Amino acid sequence: MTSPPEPPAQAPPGGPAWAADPPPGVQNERTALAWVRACLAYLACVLLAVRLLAARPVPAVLVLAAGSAVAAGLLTGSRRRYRRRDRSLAAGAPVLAPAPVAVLASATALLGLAAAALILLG
Amino acid sequence: MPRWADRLRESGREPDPRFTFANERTFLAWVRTALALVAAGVGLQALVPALAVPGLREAVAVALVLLGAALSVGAFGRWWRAERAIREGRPLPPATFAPVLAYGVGLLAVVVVVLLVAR
Repeated sequence: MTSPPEPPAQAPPGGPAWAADPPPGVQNERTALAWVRACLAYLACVLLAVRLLAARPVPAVLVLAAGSAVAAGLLTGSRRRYRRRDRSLAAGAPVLAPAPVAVLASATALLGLAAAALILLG
Repeated sequence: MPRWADRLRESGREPDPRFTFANERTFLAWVRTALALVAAGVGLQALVPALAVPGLREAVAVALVLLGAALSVGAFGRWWRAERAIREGRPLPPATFAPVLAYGVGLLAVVVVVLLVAR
């Protein structure tokens, strides 16, 4: 079992400022980049899944459109969230954002279930 | 913030934002793993010729894809519980999924390779 997270380190007294943990803005940027990677992975998965629908163009286009809309929505939301979180960090306001987490988890689960159905139904 | 997350937001105290960011990135890493599993299953079905045992390719593909779906749901649960633990100052819940996942996927990979070579 892991111990509770420790408070962020302070710069050693009299030492260089860079010896402390990086400022939270860096974490905000890393998180936004992680969202980009996740959205790209999701989109790549949708494109691959569309191959299973090669014989049925109408469902293929629908799946592609829906998957692209989800990825685009999450990417746009992530950009807005990055800017909003920068302001929240400056103001000491909360940065928690549960909605996109829930959306991505559901979208991935749905994609998996849809892929299972496509494989089983041939 | 959505209403269903009120319980989360109102528990404990507002943590250092770096912990919330780190928890979110961990969730995203798990989801990328789940997506890789889904892609592996779909790729197996769409790109690999049938294996020696009829229907086995479909079975393995479905197993991979469902494992990916389950993992993404589990990733959300892990994110929620970790955020609560951080806010309430409790130890983080243990991650039991990673070794199960590693051994399971490794086993599936060995099975597929053996059956591909055996044709």
